[in-house]
Amino acid sequence: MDQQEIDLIERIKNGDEMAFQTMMTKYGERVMGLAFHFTKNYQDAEDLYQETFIKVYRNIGSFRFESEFFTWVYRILANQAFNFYRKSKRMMPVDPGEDDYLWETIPDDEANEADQATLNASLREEIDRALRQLSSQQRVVFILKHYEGKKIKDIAAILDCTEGTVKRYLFRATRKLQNLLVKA
Amino acid sequence: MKTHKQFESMLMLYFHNELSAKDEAQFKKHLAECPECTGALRRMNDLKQALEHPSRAVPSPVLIERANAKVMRTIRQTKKRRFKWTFFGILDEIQDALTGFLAQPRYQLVSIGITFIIGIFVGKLWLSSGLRHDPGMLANFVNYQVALTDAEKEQLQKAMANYLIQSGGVEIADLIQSSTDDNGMVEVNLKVDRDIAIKGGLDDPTILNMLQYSARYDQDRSRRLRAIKLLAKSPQNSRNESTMISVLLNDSDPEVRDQAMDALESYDLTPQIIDAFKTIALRDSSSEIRRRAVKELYQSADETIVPILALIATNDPDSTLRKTAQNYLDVIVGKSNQQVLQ
Ligand SMILES: [Zn+2]
Repeated sequence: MDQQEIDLIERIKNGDEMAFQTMMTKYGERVMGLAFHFTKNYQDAEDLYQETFIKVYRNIGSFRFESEFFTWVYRILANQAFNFYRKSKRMMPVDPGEDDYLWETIPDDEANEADQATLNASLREEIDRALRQLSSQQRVVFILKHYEGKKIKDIAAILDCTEGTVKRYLFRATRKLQNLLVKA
Repeated sequence: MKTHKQFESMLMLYFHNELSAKDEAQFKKHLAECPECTGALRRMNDLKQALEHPSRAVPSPVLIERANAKVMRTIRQTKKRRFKWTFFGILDEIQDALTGFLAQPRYQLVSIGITFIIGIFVGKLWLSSGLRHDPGMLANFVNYQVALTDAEKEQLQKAMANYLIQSGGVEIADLIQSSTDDNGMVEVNLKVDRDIAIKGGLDDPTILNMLQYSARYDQDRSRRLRAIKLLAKSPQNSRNESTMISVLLNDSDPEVRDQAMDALESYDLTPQIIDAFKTIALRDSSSEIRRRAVKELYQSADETIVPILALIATNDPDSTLRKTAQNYLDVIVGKSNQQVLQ
């Protein structure tokens, strides 16, 4: 961790709001991107983003410089996503929400040819829709495993639960996605 | 030698690349000679393929700025009014504090259940800003939760008290020992100085639970009225019904009872509601409420109301109501074809 970042965190620990805002600006895009990655829903992503940073602010005292700062933030984010529960009864955004213009959806592998990207667009929408149908626990575990390439034991450590629990969510998610995505 | 059944459980781990080298070798050998496992794995690999190319969404700077502003607002609010917590933080902090407690095997409810229990606590505190004047209300509220056993109630109260003490904003109001010898029970009264807010629609079970509690037990009459008004907008069900009945039978304020009466009149009549109306028709101190109950009973066309109407027709202190009851009675027993007074 560079000295500049250490100073920034020390200032946040001392209650410096400006420093906290600087930190949010620095990591905002990454955190918001991940929030969407974990929720597959714009509105939930924004809620999760806010919950995460509020938690970062409240718990900054317990950050001991034992890991990279972003690793620590990531862990809080994954945990919040895992325990995320929708506050108001909000429907899945089947129709485009009012905030959609604030997001730009791009293919994961930017090397894609343009027409392949269009071809994949509807497929991607289908995948997102399937992922949205999982519980937040199933979704987060599956994403950590499948897209982030984490091992079950690391996922258990991130989410503060047993490997058995992770396996249960992972297997359930896999079966559910199989039913949703793979046609006979 | 392992059977196919035992290998089946390894399939999922193999698919997710989580088998040890030794298990993997063993499984691969089985795979080569088992068409069932091969087929299942092929279907799973279809999933792998289907999941390629996930979307990544890039948020615009405007969105980030807006979200950051909201975060800052929440943080400043927390600072300014130290004990005015918003929904955001409190839920997970209570969740953290209660996790240990709820993680015990016998409390392993489904997560929604846990959220619900926590919601009950949060909402309780929100409803009774009277709590700071009445430390006993927390205990009352927990006791109101019919689904919990006494032991569980006690444990939850203790977990909540521990949480409150840990997080500050609470002081010990009183220490009492029930008997003079050293082994007597000790009672500790807590004074809590904190407001907590939760949000949710009228279809949210936690909110409904809060409203039902407020309608019955809130110290503040205007809040009871508001709770009943709100509850009346949610559909009739047994808990809403019993809440309204309880208010009608027990509330000391006629206006509050009147409000509950409004709700009950809009409900489909059930035997419980008819019973409540019978009691009220005979007993309520407000002649207006008695009159409404009598009218409802008459319209219910339930034949068990005849003795009630007879009692009212002879004993009610209000002469107009006595006359009305007599008229209803006459119609029911067919002695008169006279038009009933409304
Ligand atoms: Zn097999």
